Amino acid sequence: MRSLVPHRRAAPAKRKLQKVPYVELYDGRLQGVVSSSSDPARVYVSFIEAGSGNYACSTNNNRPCGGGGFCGHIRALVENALAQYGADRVARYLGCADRNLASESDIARQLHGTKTAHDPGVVFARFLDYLRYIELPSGTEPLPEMAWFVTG
Amino acid sequence: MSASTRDTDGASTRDTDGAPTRDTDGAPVVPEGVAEARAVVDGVDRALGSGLARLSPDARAALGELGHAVAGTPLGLAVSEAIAAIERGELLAHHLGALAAGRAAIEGAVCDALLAAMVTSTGLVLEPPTLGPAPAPDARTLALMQSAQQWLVEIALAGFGQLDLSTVSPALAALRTLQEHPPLRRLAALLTGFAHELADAAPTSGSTELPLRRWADLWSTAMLASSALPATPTRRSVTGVLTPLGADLVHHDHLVSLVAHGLFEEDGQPRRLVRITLSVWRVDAIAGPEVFTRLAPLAPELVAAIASPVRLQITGATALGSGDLLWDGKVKPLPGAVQPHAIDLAGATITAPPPRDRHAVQLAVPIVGAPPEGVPLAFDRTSPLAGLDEGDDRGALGFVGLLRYDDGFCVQPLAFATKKELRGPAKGIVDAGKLKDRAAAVLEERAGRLLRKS
Ligand SMILES: [Zn+2]
Repeated sequence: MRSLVPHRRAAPAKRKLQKVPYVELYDGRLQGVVSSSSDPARVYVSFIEAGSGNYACSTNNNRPCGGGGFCGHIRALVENALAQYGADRVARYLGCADRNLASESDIARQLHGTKTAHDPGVVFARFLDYLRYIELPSGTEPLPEMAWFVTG
Repeated sequence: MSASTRDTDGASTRDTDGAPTRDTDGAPVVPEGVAEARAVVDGVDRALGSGLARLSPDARAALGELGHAVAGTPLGLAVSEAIAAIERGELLAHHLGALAAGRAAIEGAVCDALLAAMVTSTGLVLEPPTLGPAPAPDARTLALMQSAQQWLVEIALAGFGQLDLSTVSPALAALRTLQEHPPLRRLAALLTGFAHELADAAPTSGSTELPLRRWADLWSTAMLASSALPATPTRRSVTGVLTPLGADLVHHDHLVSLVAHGLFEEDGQPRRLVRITLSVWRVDAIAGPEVFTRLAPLAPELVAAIASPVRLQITGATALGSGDLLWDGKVKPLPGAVQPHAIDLAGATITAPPPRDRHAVQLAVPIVGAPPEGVPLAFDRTSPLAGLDEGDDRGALGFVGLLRYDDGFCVQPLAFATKKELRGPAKGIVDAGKLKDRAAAVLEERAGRLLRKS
């Protein structure tokens, strides 16, 4: 096994980016941003907390989502997380003993959380920071340090 | 080497390109002292893993070994003073910088010995880099370097095995200013990858499979990069013919580089191996062939020549004293296809890495024809973007790869030629041209609406 470079990861499966432009495993949560199906200028910010299974969903302006339980936004978030990271990594991160996750109901079956309040601003700011990378300038100067980063 | 790759030996002598052919050279021999050097570095890495804020007897002994190893070198005094200070609990940035420099000096000596062995076995001619002085950082650059260094100190005090998100997140927050400051582009590329890698792994306590050596390498490289700017490679305007051999793809979730390896032939100069680097920032959703649609505009003729090899006439480009070529000249593709796997590289010069980059990970010596006898193919060293998988060597008539060292010599494949196709990044490059829905377009639309609104 090589020790200088990270282990090779499988390439992510195709995501529904229009529906879920942002998904991440960060700060003990599966979290992300889900586009509204009715208003193109509105997005929902949703998360499921690892371990407890507590969850939340609201617009980026902090209006609560009307859906009960794991709403359609959380369903879409999980679907895209499974595509991006694979079921095994998502299950390990959330603390699901059965790693065979096909959808959000496999998470609900294992973690029994309740709906909680949240501040969507933190995740939304991370999403805006993520979008910023697309606009950073490219270049043709050597970057020898990138030799460390083979996969990922 | 598998039986199927041995087939390429026979094929490479059936050269249709007019270039002379040669037999496969022998495998390079691991120089003496590499294992001992590795043991010293491993000790330092364990100390960084448990944290310099509390040194165990094992960690103290390991730092002592580092002191012995560099004693008598120009660094000897600074390293021994730094170790004494760290043992007293004085954990200042310059002490940790000296520790990183001591570790890097050992890696550098190993790198030199490995490169000499690789060059001997491949029949290349080694040339030292030509460098000018290191520039002094201006006030803003210095402030950004010091802030990066402060975070690196915190990481080392805590130890890689005790990191939580609160230790890592200050670095994430500071990335933006680094990325937008071109004099520190190298540090920005490194820290963006390193900080996100640590954030992904946090919390690290209780984890038994931490990549200690890798993180210690990244940490000491970043520590040196934030202590002083590197020496500037000399610049020279060149005109000649470039034959692209193949392309390596390196990336983390936020930046991808295509590093093309080529043979440059210039009137009155020895034939020279060069690298050309094309880099774009990205996000994880921009993956697969779309990466090539982002990279190609930086050097369209070069990217096309990797998919469908031709020689390129280059006029007035900048050659750097580090063995790199900048893509700033006039480019004209020359008629007629070439077969990179049939190019004779014997006697070509290759430039040794500049002092700051002397580390085994930087060693990438082009090999064409077939991998050296007894040196394994390392498919796990290739990017998922490279379009190569285990078994792609089957039925290949020609091969291009990079001789590398990672706990043993190995050959990272860049491309395999068959009668019908060129296996490697060629497919992704061709597919990129036919791509319909692009992730970047979706994200740009989202950015347009949401940034305007928020
Ligand atoms: Zn919802």
